[in-house]
Amino acid sequence: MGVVGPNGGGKSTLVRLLNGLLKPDAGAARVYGRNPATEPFEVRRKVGMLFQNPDNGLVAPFVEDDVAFGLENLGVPREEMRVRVAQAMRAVGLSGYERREPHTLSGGEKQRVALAGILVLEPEVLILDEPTSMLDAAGRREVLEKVRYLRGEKTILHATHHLEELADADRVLVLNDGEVTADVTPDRLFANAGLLRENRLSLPPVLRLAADLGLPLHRTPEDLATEILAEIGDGAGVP
Amino acid sequence: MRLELRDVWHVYAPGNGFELPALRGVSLTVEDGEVLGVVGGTGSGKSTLVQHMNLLLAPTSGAVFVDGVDAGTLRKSELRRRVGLVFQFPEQGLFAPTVEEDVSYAPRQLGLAGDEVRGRVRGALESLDAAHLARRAPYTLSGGEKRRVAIAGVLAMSPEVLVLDEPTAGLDPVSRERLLELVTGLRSAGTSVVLVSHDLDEVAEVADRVCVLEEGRVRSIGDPAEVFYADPEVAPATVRVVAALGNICPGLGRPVRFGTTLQALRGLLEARG
Repeated sequence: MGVVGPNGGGKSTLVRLLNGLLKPDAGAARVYGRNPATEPFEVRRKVGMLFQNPDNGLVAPFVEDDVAFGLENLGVPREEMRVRVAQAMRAVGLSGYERREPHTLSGGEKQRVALAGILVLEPEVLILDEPTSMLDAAGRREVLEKVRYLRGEKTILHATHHLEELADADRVLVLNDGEVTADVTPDRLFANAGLLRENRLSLPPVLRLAADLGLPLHRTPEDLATEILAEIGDGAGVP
Repeated sequence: MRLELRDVWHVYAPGNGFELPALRGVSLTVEDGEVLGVVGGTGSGKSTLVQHMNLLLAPTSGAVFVDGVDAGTLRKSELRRRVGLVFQFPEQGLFAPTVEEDVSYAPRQLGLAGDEVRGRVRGALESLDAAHLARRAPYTLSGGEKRRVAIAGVLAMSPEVLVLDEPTAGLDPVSRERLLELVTGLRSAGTSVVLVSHDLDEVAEVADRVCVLEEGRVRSIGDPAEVFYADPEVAPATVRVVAALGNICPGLGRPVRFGTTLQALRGLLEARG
């Protein structure tokens, strides 16, 4: 499920209520029947959270120690820890990085280390709070690819300003001024100019070009170019 | 003001095991009143580069010139008033109890009269659509609001060059657009702007020239159409669409901005469709 909306709309507040980082003033959250406000530690074993800036979360001198940090706190036996750390590092594509120092990594690599540190705890829910906003295009691709791989295996809540990251989501929750203003599929959201405008959302450039040209909402520049060629009757297509 | 970097090298932690040459001979200029976009992957040296523009970092070798004068010979306080640098996530530096006091902090250090300070603070907050926040405590603001207040704090110094390092990271699309409007507004008022960004599309919207950094070197610099069409792989989405249409539709020209790209593609569809 994607979570979108303007700055100050309530995205980060909402996701922080779900693992007890914030407590509601009224009402209650329930995660697998448990209340994160009163049982945060139980809930956090099921709900892993990835933040915007990986630099704020990486603490250990070596990558493998950082990934193992959560397990150490849980007192997991050494042998099991080794196995689980190796699995988590493989899942994010960082096998071989065990003895690297976090500060020598790129932004995308750091964010994947942070993701491994969460996966190693085997959470059932993954909360991503703008996990790519500090990354360049390559780093963003790396992280999103790993997240996509976890689909079906984990429940994922993904807060972002980049609508294109949610094109494959099952649902998108729109938050504005602290209220849910829509709960729709990405396709319906992308096609609804009024809903986008009211919630200070805008389509990424390729989708916007397609929408403004009255063409189907193709996601990549190459797909849009192919569509344009088809429209103007040039069947050759784009190589 | 014309800012020039001449063969600037910067090596972090020279001589020990962590030695890292972040800039490897960068030469470029920021012309008077232009918007220079600086793009490049993580670790390409963008942030290191911009911190040389007001000598927050000193070059390991090479030099920085302000209107032809070696910046190293200028008083630091004068240099930093004339070249305003806004860091990544500048909101982390907000510290005063109210927005107004935070934004007035820097102009007060210049020893300006009270009226002048108040005027500048009002002007800076207004140009960032943040005048209504003046009495609020920074910690009660949303992320986008904090960002605008932090930028106002540098703008209140009335810099001749404003350097923005990833100013739109984490901002919603409307806040992002407003910030880009601010950039074009400043340019019309004669301020030069250096805009560092991961977002090629936003750089394409506002930059007069663009500089692509790669591993601490200038990979290319110049007119955005020249730079992006020569290298569509590191170009904004608009350019990639047109580039993918390629030789088949030479009449499209080389549009870079969203509006001109849309217009060109509309023309194509109307003429042939």
